[in-house]
Amino acid sequence: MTPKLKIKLLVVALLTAVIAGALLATGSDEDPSPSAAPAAVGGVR
Amino acid sequence: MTVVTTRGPVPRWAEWAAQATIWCALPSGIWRILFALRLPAGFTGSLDPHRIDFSSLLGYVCALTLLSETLAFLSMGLVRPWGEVWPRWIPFLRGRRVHPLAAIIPAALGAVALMVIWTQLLFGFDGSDPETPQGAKRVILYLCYVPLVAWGPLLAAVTVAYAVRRHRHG
Repeated sequence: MTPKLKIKLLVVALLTAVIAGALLATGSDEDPSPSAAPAAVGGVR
Repeated sequence: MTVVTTRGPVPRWAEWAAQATIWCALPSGIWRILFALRLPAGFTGSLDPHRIDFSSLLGYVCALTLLSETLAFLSMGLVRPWGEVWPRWIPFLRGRRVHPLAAIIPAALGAVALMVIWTQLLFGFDGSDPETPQGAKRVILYLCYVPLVAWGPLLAAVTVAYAVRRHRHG
């Protein structure tokens, strides 16, 4: 493996970590659709 | 070892532009794979990835990412010797000269298609559907897909450089 390729793979790994980190840091997905409303109500109970 | 070089010098900017096309397609590919791996990308309701079979979705996005990266990698042929003479591993064509139009026409059509597709998709996405990513997740989606808008113009520029070089040096 050439040093150039190593750097490129490192950049790809870093980019993956940044995007994954950003998705996780912005919280979980909440379902705003009407179909999810009963489940949400159930959760409150 | 024999070092094969291109006929005529490749402008530095063309080399950089060809490499940039690969990087332009990368963030959206990574985002897609992370989305398929069920990271919270912001799609909910009927668009929730949990409603789709995990292995089917992962297989689909991996294939799509591989396809887009392969297409992006083809632009390197416009700045490498394998864009002028068919490489050894291609049966029947190996060693033969690549006709300039065989590269210029598909590359030019590809550049136009990429400009139309990505500009429309990205700027046509208004985010009014509450089941699509909102807020910060929408910003992440945009940041990952915005580089794709540059893919078409970059490919067009590399294609022009290739056409000029082949015209001058054969």
